[in-house]
Amino acid sequence: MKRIFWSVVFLAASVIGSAAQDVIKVPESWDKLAAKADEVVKVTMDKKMLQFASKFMDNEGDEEGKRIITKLNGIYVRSLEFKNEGEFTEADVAPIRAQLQGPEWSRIVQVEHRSDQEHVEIFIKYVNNTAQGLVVLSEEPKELVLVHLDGPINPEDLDDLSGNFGIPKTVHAPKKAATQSKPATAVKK
Amino acid sequence: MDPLERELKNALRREEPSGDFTARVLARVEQQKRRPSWWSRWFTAPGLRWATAVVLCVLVVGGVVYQREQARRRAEGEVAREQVMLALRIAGTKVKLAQDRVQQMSDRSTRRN
Repeated sequence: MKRIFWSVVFLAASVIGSAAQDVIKVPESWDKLAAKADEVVKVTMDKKMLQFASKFMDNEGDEEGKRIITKLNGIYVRSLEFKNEGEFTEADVAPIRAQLQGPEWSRIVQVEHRSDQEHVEIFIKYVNNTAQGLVVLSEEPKELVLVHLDGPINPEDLDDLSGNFGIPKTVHAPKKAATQSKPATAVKK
Repeated sequence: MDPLERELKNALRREEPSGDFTARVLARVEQQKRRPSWWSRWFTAPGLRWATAVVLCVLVVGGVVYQREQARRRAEGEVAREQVMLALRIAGTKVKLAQDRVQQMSDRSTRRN
């Protein structure tokens, strides 16, 4: 009986543990950066909150967003906008990138625009050949953005993301087959 | 006169009411007049009067609390909705930026070829 009890406890702990690991941990240094930032956006919404929010998404134009979030387990956004350049360093971003090195994560897009000093990376988490998460990590001289959409999200949803919310839809997301083998990298000098 | 006719005549014969019939009818009418309606009886019973007042108070307070709770939930829901839309807008902007850069690069290489 005791063994069964401990097995159940162990199983529950590992399930909870694995669920907790799904969320990208934001380094503590980001909190210090947030104190220096001119504009801070912090969105932390788990599945429960998303379900709650979806009940109120009945306005015109909410359909696409509602369709995307009903599948997701969570949305986590950190956006820091600074007045001056050079407020953050690579050391602030490295711990996040390290979490995206696992075998489940694939970097599907890496954009480095050197003249504008933009660096955007899009990672997708594949579990059993299905996309189970999307991370966008964007660095600009005065801006640092991390977006984590946790849960089933198709690369095709990227089109919906770019086509809605007031953003014109002009280009298409890279297809999974083409991007899984080699990340699309754009480097402009 | 056959037996059936006789029986009918007997059954339908005129019968005078008893002497106190009028008095009994008038007494019953008076009694009916004096009997209070069910709702006035309800409010005259002291226990029931208080119980009714308490129930009404609970209903009114409950209604107000429910309305306030609904308004609070609606406000929270709107905030949650705004947050979701903001998060998706930020994600969409960054994805769009990356897509644009990839597209620019692709266009450039196509032109070169």
